[in-house]
Amino acid sequence: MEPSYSGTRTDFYHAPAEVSDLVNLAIALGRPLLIEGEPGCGKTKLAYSVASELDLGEPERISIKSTSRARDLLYRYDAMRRLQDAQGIDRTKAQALYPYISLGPLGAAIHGANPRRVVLLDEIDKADIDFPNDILDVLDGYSFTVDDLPVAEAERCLAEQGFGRQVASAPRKPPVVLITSNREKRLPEAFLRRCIFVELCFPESEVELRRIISKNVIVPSESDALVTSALRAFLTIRKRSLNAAVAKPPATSELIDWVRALLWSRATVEEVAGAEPRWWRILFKIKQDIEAYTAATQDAP
Amino acid sequence: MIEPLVLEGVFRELCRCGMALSVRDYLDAVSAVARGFGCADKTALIRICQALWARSSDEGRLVRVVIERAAQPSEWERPHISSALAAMASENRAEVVPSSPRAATESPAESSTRVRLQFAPSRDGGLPLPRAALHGSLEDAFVLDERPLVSERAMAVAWRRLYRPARHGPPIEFDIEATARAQSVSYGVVQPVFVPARSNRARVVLAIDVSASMVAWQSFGSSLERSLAQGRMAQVSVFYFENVPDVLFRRRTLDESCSLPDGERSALLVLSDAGAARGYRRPERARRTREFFAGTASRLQPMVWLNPLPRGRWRGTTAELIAKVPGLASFCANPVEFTRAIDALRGH
Repeated sequence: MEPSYSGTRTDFYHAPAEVSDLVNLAIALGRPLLIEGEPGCGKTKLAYSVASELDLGEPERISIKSTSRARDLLYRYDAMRRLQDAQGIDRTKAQALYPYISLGPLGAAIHGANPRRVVLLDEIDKADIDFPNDILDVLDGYSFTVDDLPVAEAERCLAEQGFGRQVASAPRKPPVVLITSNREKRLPEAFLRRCIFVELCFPESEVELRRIISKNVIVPSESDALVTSALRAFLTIRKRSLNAAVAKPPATSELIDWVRALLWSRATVEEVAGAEPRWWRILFKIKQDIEAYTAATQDAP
Repeated sequence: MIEPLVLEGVFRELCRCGMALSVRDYLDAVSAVARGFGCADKTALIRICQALWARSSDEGRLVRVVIERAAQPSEWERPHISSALAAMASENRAEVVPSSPRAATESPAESSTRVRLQFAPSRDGGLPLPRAALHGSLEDAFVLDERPLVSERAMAVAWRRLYRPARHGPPIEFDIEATARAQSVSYGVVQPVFVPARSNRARVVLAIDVSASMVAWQSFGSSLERSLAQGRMAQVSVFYFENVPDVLFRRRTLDESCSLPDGERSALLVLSDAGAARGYRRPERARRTREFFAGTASRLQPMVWLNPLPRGRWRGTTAELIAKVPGLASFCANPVEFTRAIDALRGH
């Protein structure tokens, strides 16, 4: 029986039960998992946690940019190197094309001969509008064709480099694909339907936040009271910033940075529990958000 | 006896309520249930079905409501789920909340159900978006979603079809074919060959009617503008007008008239109901429009008129007259015709 993901066995991440269920569902059905949530709520760390718990090695993290092309994730053809070799002393080396084709990060993860891995397509909403559709077929069947590889060279490429024109995952062992999105752009309907959707909500309870802090920050025992005070202050600041409709409310990563700053500066409980907790500006990333929060706090009774 | 299918009733009800689900979605859900996912209780099943089928918070709510209305089985064990949920298809269909507000107001008198309408402001101006809710236990049973004539994403993808590639500018792109060709006939090492990069030379003028009859499509017009920005054209010019595009303005407020841009020829897309919204037939308006197109034909080609009303509403109105203007192609705003409009702008 395949090991299942619990979300609790790593020392750096804790996933709620409903999230770990959906991770296991995505793995069981062989479908990509689309993770949405506020920036800083742990979407990327979830992928690392899955890879660590299931012992699948380091996840293949692919940061998607606006210039990302689906084909480059699958394979690359180094035409420039071929031209260089064609101009070199031994020109015969450049007669064949296949030595200049290599699998890209997603292509290597799909290739059945390689060990099973976790693939993280980070921030797919940043990509060009055609990108999700270009990658849809690949994520559907976990196979693709290396179009640039001539048919006549396919067998030699398979013998020497381990892949031919058709690259596919091992049966029932496709890569575990996690995709994160910040919802900057709407993804195509067909792509959304192919994925299993999970939304990471910000943990609103002090207990859950303390668990996250304990997994990410070394807290000396004498600083427990400081951390407790910081968590309470954080929840208050977050609530007020949501009411003030800031563009980027403080989230988990900001909380972790703030607690680290407080511990480093040896802040006291009184400094954190006051009306303006020490270093509170660290929790915001946008100047206008700080101004909006300040205005909202001044208006509050 | 035919064994009832797992989740068939839920699936059919969600399809009936307008969710775009496929057989594959259904089979994935059955596979998930067969593996034990969602079998603990109804909440777990709701979560699994939401993850598999829902793509928005409203769809998630719909999934929850439909499953909650399903019959509660006596024991949540895998073998019993199939009969329990399939029973919903025959027993509880009448109890499921319909997805149209009209049906909501026809609820039986004895339940004293009332519809509460709320209006949320549209982010682009124009008409506010209505949301209807029922008092009582079905508070958030259904929501009226804004359904655009054509989604912004679909329009952005369609605009990419308007592609007139041409090499333009300094030679910065490495031409491997030309270099390899030069190398093949030379015994020495050749210099790499560079050519100007390809870019889209398509130019578009968008003219949007902002008269009172077009208020209902103001958000669609804004969406069209935004989608055009994603089309990677060489030049995009947006103008506004009232009823007839012979006088163009820079802003929606129609306070600064301007003329068409000089330079290379551009394609023209006009968004206007042309009187179809109110059923008016104004020959004078059609004549002025015809004269405008005749006067600009040398600078604006091809020319396309996009009407938010369906073709059936054009009959007997100014829109019918404008559709007959020579050299002007008219389309209505739906996904299929929008793509045809772009093809017309391409010259096809």
